[in-house]
Amino acid sequence: MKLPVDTYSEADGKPVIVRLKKSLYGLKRAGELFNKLMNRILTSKEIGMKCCINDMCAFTLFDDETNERAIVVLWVDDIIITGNSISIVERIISHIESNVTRMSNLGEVTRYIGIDMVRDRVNRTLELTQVPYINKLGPNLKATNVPLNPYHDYRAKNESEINPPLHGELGSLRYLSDRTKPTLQLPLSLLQTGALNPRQVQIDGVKHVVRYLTGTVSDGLTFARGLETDPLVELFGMCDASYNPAHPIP
Amino acid sequence: MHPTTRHILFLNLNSCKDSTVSASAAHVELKAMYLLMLSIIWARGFLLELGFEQHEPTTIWTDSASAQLLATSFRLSSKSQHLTMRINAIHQEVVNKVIVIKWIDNEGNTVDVLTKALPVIPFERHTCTLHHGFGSRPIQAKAKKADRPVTFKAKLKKMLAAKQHQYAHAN
Repeated sequence: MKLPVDTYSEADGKPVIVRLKKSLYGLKRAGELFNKLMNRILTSKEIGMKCCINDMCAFTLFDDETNERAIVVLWVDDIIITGNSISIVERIISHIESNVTRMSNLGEVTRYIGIDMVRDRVNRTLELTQVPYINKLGPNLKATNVPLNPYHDYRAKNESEINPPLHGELGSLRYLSDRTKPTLQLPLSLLQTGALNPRQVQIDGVKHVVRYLTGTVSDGLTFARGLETDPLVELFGMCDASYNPAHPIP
Repeated sequence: MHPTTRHILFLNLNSCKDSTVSASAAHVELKAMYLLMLSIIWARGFLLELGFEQHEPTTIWTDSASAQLLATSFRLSSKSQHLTMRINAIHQEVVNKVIVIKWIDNEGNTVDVLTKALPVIPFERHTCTLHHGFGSRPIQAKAKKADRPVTFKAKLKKMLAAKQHQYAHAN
């Protein structure tokens, strides 16, 4: 970042070197500095939260006397505060408010970093969707049921013709697949093999994925609580590996 | 071969093209299992910090019987020498009761949707599980009676009955 020489210069005409005491919006370090500030506020003695070792953006507070728990999640300057009682949440909010110059409380979470959150209090579920982002992607095309044609081979390289690269389109779809549309992971990794100089089949593949999205706009991830007898969070994993992703023609 | 190894975990999905060369299918499956094991260890630690301690070992579902056998038994041989380091790492966590490895058939293996381009019916079933069904354990699909393969004994019995029928009518 360069300072304007005519206003900020020493008597002999040399430019001054300035040390910033606060971060400026848009600087590379701004995010890190803000995280340090939030870390200092939340782990101070008055509130005594703990920063998680496994994820530096999550903070926890356990009050053993009153059996109150709270979790705070940071995404630069967007904060989610959750807890099992209103009093502990309000305590954290008032503590942060007293330490920063301005903070707006938007109430219950409905939208966070571009993801819509819908809570069903009766069935105790939480649904994450990205409807506005998908609607922005393309015009209303005829919907399909699967993101790619299972009988096509999308991996062969193009050596005869020259086509414009597909990185922009694939990047905007990657944003979805990393968040609420996990089924797009395979199609995108297949299409990305020839993204620099795509064949016609790959260009059509991207259209196919967008057509699949128009049919499943409101589908998202649903998180539900385990049964009463089960543990609250039940963990299990599945693993698989495959060499040829194309489906054999019946 | 550079196959795609994918694993899925409640709260965390990963799929990527393998960066190293594999020599056998069991090798690849073990690689995927090893990567999953690493993220399970991370997830268990994170859940512990958030106050949701996991008392039971976490289940890993795999559709490869050979990988399951290699990872759960101590029968290492010269044929599995190239897998020894990963097998030992997985063994250690099985003994520590962090993970349990179980076999699941292809019908119920939801991660198929991240490794293969599927036709409509299995795709929709797996997508439904992926999007909505993680509150419950994966359901192992049972083959219907009509779909079961006819065994050799049953075939022989049927053939004999037909012959007897023919013989009785001839006389």
